[in-house]
This record gives sequence, structure tokens and C-alpha cells, in this order.
Amino acid sequence: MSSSKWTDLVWVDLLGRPRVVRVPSETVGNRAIRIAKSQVLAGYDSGSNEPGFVRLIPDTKTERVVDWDADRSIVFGDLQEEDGSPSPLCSRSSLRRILLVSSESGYQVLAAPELEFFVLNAETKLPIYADIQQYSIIKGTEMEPLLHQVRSGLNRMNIPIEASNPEYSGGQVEVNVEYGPALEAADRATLMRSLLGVLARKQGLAVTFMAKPWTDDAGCGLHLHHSLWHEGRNAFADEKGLSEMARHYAAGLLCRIREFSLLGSATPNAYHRRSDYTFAPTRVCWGPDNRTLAVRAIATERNSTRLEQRDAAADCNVYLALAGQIAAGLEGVREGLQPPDQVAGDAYARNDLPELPRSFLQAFELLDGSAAARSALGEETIASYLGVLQRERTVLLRSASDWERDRYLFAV
Amino acid sequence: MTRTANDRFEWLRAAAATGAVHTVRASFADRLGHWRGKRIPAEHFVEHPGHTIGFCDGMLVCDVRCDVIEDTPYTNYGTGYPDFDVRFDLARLRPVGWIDGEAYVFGDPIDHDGQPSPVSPRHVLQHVLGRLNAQRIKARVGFEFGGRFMHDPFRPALIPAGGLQPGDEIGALTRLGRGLQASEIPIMSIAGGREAGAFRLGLGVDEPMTSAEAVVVAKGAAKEIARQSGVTASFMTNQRGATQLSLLEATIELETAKPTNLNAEAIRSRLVEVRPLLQPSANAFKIGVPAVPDVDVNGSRIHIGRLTASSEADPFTVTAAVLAAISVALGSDGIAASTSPTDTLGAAATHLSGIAWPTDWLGAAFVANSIPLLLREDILHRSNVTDWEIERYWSTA
Repeated sequence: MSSSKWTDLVWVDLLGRPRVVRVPSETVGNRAIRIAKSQVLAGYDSGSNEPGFVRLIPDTKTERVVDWDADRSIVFGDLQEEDGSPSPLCSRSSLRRILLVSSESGYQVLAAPELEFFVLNAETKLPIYADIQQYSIIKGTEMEPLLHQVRSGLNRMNIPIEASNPEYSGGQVEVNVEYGPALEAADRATLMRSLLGVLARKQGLAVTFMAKPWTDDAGCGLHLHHSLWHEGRNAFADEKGLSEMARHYAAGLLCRIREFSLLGSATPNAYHRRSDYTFAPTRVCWGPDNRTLAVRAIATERNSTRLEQRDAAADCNVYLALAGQIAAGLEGVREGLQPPDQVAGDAYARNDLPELPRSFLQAFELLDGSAAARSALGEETIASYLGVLQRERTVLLRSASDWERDRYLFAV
Repeated sequence: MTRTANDRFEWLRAAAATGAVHTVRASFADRLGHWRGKRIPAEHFVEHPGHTIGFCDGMLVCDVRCDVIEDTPYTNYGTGYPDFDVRFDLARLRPVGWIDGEAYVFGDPIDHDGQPSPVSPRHVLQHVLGRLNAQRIKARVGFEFGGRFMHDPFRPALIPAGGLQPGDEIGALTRLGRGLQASEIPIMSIAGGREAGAFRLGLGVDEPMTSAEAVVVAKGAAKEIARQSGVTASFMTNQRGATQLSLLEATIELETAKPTNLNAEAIRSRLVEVRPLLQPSANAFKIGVPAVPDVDVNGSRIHIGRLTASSEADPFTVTAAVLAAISVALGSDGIAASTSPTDTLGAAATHLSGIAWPTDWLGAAFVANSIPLLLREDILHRSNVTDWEIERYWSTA
């Protein structure tokens, strides 16, 4: 452990938001913290009345000293039931359990999260610039007071950032996190979202990872890159490019992509992002490097050969999204599933392909009816997750939006 | 002393180790000469020498506002906008002289099979230089170009009318000059213009690739230093209320294998045919046909001065098109009369698509992808109701 004085013990709620209990560092490891289940199930409305507690068990291997405060460190923890068993409310444990299945087969899952977000004026809550300037070095310079701190500070906190660049909307940024073991990748992405908010506030700015803040601008995606490794070799690559194992894995991803959709797109807003000709996928399909596909196969170099699933939103629970995708991929490998034909060209125009869920309600029904999800992530985990989002569903069904008022108030 | 790619990489490695350089701008220039790329932690960059970085290929054929269109055959939704990779040219690794802690490096966009992207202006210029070399023609190029510092919106900034005065202390220009020198950009002059806010930068004559890249970097430096000063630098050719145009003027030195009788009109008539590449917007087209005022032929040595394009044009494209035009002019007997309609960007773009030599020299893919973007720019311009129209006709028509 470091010489920090205070430690932020982090647990993750079912929506993937990191929550903290700050404790004197010398007490970490000596005790378990009790967390009310209602907090884990809080949802966007803090509306849970669930009784009882879970215990937060620090995973001290995850310790990071806060780059801008050497007296403080951050340690992720797992949630256990009072009897010491993994809690079904712990999405970090859900991912860990699925990774155990893979490692018992001799395969390590490596993953890389690719996150998009908007940098906002904290007062106006609008992007700090309006025009699209993807990859612009000059626009990037305007954001460097923040983004340099992000790259350097997060690197020092063992969140290795490969690159940053302006994305395809005004004020939108993409940050690439280096690939690594899948649990570590989820920790990094989850912590990065939180630390970005802290660093932005220091600059008088704000950030949002909301999936689709503005109708006519690009949405914020979480692209998850997967590869399976065996004895130090990338099992997704062979001498011809993409291996047979990668094809099975892709088949698994595609087989479950519709019914697991809610794991990666957990708000009604996230489904506004799924729109044709926006670079967000809308059809169940895969193929070589192509930004209209749901699963993109990238096989240019052996070590970097991977599959990229592109449908998740940047504001999702990364652990659950990744757990669902990995479970699906491993199912494809285990069952020897064959993927559909690869799609070349404009997948948005392929009306013959199955559509990804285009609404929260549709995705909710699909996950609710998914035996595969309950089998992979656990009956109670899925039930709890749906329980949190059921409240979102209820609010959605009874809410009249500004758009509806603008459109219908005096027109009907 | 010329420093090799290895020298420069070792410099970066040492600078990254001490923290003197923390960020590398892994860069490419798009079809309008805009400086694009990703910022990479320097330590990460030096740990992966020779690696490539992927970018969405739509950004090689996008318009000035980054819009992509379906008419570009190189990429569109039908191809799925796959990645291209950039292979960095470490010989071009330099410090960013006006911002502490950063370095930059440009590279060549390549496709997944390792072949140069045919729509990359940097590749097009390399291709043209290769052909000139085969003809035993040596070329060197220097640029002088103008821009404006403005407060938003459209109020001149930083530089007084009449230009600089002896002893003027204009911090932004001082930082610009020192910054470009620190980046090894051959800055030869910094001047104001007759109108407030206007400035001109003169860069030395050098190898064409070096000179074209220097313009991209110098324009970027001017924009970034302007933002540090709370203003904007613009290279839009014809600015509201201004009588002074923002032009990119090329000085070209050629050495041919044998004596020639090349004259200005022979060059001009070819340049008219590729005018949309030298003036790539409807606004830029207002400056009229490209001027070639100074051509001095002395046996096998040719000096061409003040050949004008628009400041907003891509310097790689301008250099490639101009050198190709000169080479074609060198090979022609007498003066070829141009029949190019030059009144609008769209008409000139359509005309360009029917001429053989630009496709031959610049590549079919480059021309075929440039044409729809130029046509669309013209359509957008023509379909837009301007402030001038409102002011002139709203209450009187």
C-alpha cells in the first residue's frame, strides 16, 4: 500500500457509477464497510427502498494514488453479502466471475474501452465549441489545459491513455485507453469517467458521457475491443488474419447483441443514439473494418487483431456491458457458433438484417425475456438490474417530453 | 547539419525521459491543409517506434466543416468509412516551438495493405516530385502567405492599420516568430498589411515537401498563438469588409535537364485548368484567375515568383498542382489556350474533371474525389441566401 493518508474505497452501483467511502488509509484491509443495498440499487431517481446491507471488500491490488493529491489513494472494492458470498448486486464481481470461466479454459480476455464524451461550458452546459473538427490539432490545443491533465494524470494513475482527439461533434472528445485484462479495463473506464469530471471542474468546465445529449449532434459511444489470449499469443489471429476462434466469438457477440442490449444502453436516451448514418450501429452484423457495423473485425497486425463491439453507450455500466459481451463471445466459442456472412458496404441500407433494439422499452423486454442473460450474469443480478430500470421505464411511460409539447400542443 | 530520423527520434526519447516533451502530435494534413491528428503521450510514442495510428478515412475526403458526402468514391457509407493508418516520418519530428512540452510529427496516410492513400495530398506531391525527378527536373519552393487576426466576429485584432511600426511590441507576433524558429520552420519575414489585423509570413525556399509542411505548421501556429491572445487567426481568402486578400504566393526554383523557353502564359493557362485546387472555395474564387507575374528563364534555370493561390488552399495540393502544371507547360509546344470557364467554382471543377493532365499527374483517385467536394461547395454557396442579398433586396424587392 502507498503512504497516502486517506483512501477512497470505491464500489460501483448497478448503473456503473462509482461511489466512494473515504477512510483512513491505515484501516483499509482491516475492516469491511457496510453499504446499504438501497444505495447500490439507487438508480437515477434514488428510488430504492431495498432493505439490508452488503459489505465492501477492498481489492488492494487496484490501489492508485490520486495524481493531484498524494495524501489520497483510490481502491476498488467488491460487494459481498453478509455471509461473505459475492453479492449479485456487484457488477464488478459479475465480470470477474465470467472472466474466471475464460481463465479456467486457459484464455485471458483482453479489452480496451474507447470512450467519447463532450467537454462543456459549466455554466451554459453547452459544448465549448460548436463546429465539427474531428482530429483537429488546433481545436485539440484549445482543450489541452484539460486533456493534457487527463492524459498525464491518468497515466500516472495506471490508466494508460494512448491518445486523445476531437471527435465528430463540436466539443466532443475521444480518449483511447490502452488494452489490458478485462477487469482492469472496466476499472479504468469507470474511474476515468469520474476523474474526467473532477479534472474538468478544476478547469471551470464540465464533461458529460450522456449517450445522446443533442438530437442533431453525434452521440457518445463506448466501443469495446476484445481479444482472447493463450500463452502470450493472440488467439484471435492466425496466419490468414482472423482466427476460427475469433469467428466463433463474433458469432456469440452477434447472437446475444439484441437481448443484451440493455446492459450497454441503459437509458431511454441511449436509443436516440442508434440512428442510421450516424456511425452508431443499427443492425446486427459484422465484418472487416467498417463503421456502419455492430461488430468490427480489425485484423491488420497479429497482436492487435481484435473484435470491436460498437453498440454500447458511453454512460453505461462498463462492467455489465463487458460481462455481457464476454459471456456472449465465450458462448460462441464454447458452442462453436458460426457467424453470419460478413457485411461489406452500407449496413444501414440492409433492411434484410435484424435491427438492434431501437427503444428502451424494446431492449427492456428483450433482456427481461433472456434466459441467456440470467444464465450468464445470474438470475438475481439481472432481476436487480431490471428492477432499477423498471423505475426508469415507469417514468418514461408517463412522461411528456418537450419535443411532444413542441410538436403537438397547438397542432392537435 | 542535417539531422537524421534516428537523431530526431533519439532527441524525442531523451526529451520524453526528462519530461521536457510530454506529448507528441501524431499528425497528417487533410485535403485542405488542415492540421489533424491525435495527441499521444510522448513516452507511449517512443515505446512504439515505427507503429502506425488509425484514423477514420472520411477525414481525408471531408469538406471544410468536416462533413462527409456520399459522392466521394474513395470512401462513403458504401465503403463503411474504414480506418486509414498514418506511418510517421520521423525525419520530420520537431518540437512545437510555441507551446512547451509538445513535439509534432507528420506522416503518410496508408491503406491497410500499406499502400499510400491516393487521396492524401502529401502522397500526391511525393508522386509529382517522383515524376519530376524522373525527368531530371529539380524543384525548390518557398511560400509567403497572408492571414488576419480578428476579434470575433470580424473585428481586426492585434495589428494596426498600416502594418508594423519600428519597435512595435506585438507579443503574438514575437511568439509566432520565435515559435516557428524553434520548430525549425524557415521563417524569413513577418509583416503587417495595409489593413488592420492583416499579417504576412514569409518562409524560405526549400525542398517542396518541407515547404508545404511548413505552411501547414505556420498556419497552425498562428491560429494557436492567436487563441492564446484571445483572438482568432483566419486564412479565409476574401474577408468581410477587407480589400486586401489573404493569398498564398509561391516562389519556385526549377532546374531542368536542358534549356527551356518557358513563359508565364504557358504556366498560367495550365494553372487556370486546376484553379479549383488553388482556390478551393467559392469565397477564394473571388480573387480571379491565378497570377504568374514573374517568370525568369536562364537556360535550364527557371525562377517563378509570386505565383498566387488562396491562403486557405492546401499547400501540398498547391505545390503538386503547380509543379505538375509547369512540367506540362514545359512539355507543350507554344501556349495552349485555355477554354476553362473560370467564373464559378462549380464550372471550373466540372471543367477540371474533363482534362487529362491533372488526372495523369495528380492521380485519378485524387481528382475524382476532389471534384464532388468542390461541386458541393459551389452548390452550398449558390443555394445560400447571403447577408448581402438580404440587405440589398429585402426591403426594396
